[in-house]
Amino acid sequence: MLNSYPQDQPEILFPEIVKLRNNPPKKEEVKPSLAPVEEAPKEKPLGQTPKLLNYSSSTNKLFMKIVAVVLLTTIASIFSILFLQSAGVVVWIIPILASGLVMASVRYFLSPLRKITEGVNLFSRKEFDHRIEVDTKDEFGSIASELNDMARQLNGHTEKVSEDKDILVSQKNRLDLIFSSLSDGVIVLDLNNRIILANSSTENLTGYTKEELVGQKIEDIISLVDKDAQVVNFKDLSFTKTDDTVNLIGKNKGSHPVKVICKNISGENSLDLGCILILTDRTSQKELESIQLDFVSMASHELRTPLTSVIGYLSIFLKENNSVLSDHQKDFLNRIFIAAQQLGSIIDNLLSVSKVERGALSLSAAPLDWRALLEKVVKETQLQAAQKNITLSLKLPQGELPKISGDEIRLTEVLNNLIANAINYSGSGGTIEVGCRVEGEEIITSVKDTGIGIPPDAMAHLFTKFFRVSGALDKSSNSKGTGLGLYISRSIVELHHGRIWAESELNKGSIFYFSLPTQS
Amino acid sequence: MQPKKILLVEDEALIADLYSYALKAAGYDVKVANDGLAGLKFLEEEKFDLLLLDIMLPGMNGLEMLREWKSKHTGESILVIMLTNLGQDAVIKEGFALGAAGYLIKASYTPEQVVKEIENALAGGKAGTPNPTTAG
Repeated sequence: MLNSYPQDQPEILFPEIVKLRNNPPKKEEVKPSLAPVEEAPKEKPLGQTPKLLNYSSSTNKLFMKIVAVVLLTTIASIFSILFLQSAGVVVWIIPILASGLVMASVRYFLSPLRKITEGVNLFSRKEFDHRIEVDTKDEFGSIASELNDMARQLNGHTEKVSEDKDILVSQKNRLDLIFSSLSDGVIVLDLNNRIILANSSTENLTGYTKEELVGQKIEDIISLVDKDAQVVNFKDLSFTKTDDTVNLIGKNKGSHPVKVICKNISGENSLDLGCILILTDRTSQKELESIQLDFVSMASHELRTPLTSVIGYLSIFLKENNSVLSDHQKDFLNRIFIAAQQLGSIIDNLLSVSKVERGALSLSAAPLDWRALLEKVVKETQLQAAQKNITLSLKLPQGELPKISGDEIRLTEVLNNLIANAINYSGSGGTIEVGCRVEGEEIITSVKDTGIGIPPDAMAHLFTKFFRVSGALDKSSNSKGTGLGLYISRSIVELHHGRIWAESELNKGSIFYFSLPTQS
Repeated sequence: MQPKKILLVEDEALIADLYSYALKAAGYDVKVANDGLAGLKFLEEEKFDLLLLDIMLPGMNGLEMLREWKSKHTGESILVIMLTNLGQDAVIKEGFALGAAGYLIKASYTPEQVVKEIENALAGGKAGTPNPTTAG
């Protein structure tokens, strides 16, 4: 027990104890007056010098007092008896008086016990302000003063703990407030990728509430995909790069463009903290980019607005009055309708050209089944050809065609444009043949017509902007006769690393070719 | 059978009337809001089966309005068709990213065709994806 006193104890105070500590004591070696110290608790606040030194001197004080009283009383009684013996007074009153005196004294000496009991009671009810008023110079006095000290200390500790708790609570509240005010989403994961913390901005970005997020493994409820719809592991996103926006797929497959930074939390593993994810919303940035319209975009939007009304109201009018209009009237109104649609096409083409000029015409390349694509386009344009009594056919080589990579929608547009031109520049009863052949590392597709042909001086300008062969269009043609179609087709083909060209003979017909590289 | 309720958010009076007329003739119950804020107010007060959303609106544009609604109603879904004359790639992408079921360029469709696309969407299908070359 004595060996377990703390190392840094002031030797000054307890020379006896230090001596004993260095030579493990045998019972007979311990100074009798120190015997009670053996029972002293380890945590005894050893700074209280006076009291502890008093320990050795206050033990047995009570006993000594009682012994003193008894001895004195006995001696006084003996003397009284001897003295009064000669006087002949009744002798047995003396012992009675003596016992009475002793009892009264003992009771007096033990009276502090009541105050101590009272005090301890109050202390146990946490009334640490109370002071046990016992100042006798005996064991009771020591106990009382020790208890008072202890109460004062407990009081101090309790107050301090309460203060500390208040500070902690207010700090936590501040941190909570800061955490939820962050405009970026913050998710804290444990070492098993389970979500421990998430702030309010995370709720907005993911669509989940905090309750739905906490406790879940992040990969079970949230996924990150890049622009090619490939899943991204957030652990790979630890470095800030300029263009690392990914799509966060949250609740109900809701998607949100975000920039994600993942930072590992280093430190004690016992805290079970894995990493922090910071999610920055990229939506408004993207929108700013997009709604910043250039002049052509703004102009085409403005042009389309009244056009919508023209096409719309005319269409409804024709439908509602079909039965009451004469054929002549219907014919005129239909021409207006067609002209309005042509206007729409012109606007579309202007936008396309603007894109080409800006270099903003983007392709999304994918492996294409060229045979299937040709078949589809020819099938869809049959009706248009049939309206002019033109035969449209498809002639494909035997066997499988090599693979091509390209943008299906835009290549379809090219074909549609070439076929539409063929229809528009052919008279009734003509034929159009769509075909292709493999030549080296290319597939060459052709659209051949038996139309009016192209004058030689026009050939050089064919694929430029706004060029139109003059006067050739039929009044009823519903074509994209803007002079922009070939220019756009050329741009698309050349973006695919292909070439486009034409051969023609006046009044015989024309053949338009374009090549596309095959995938080796 | 209760007629389906459609909220049309469109600031151009002629166009709002056009689609309102065509949709009512097709049997739908139509409410019109002339800007984003009015649209949001309508959405708070009543339940709609479909939202037809123009983008170029005074003040808050259509995409902002949709985003605002979504941020106040996290987790809820709403059937939206963008009905606009804007066709920029980024705008289309944003529309679909916000969960639109379709994107129609007004000038490319007759009202009858628009009604057909709406029927498609209400039945759970998609309603138009613009041609990237010519849309805008």
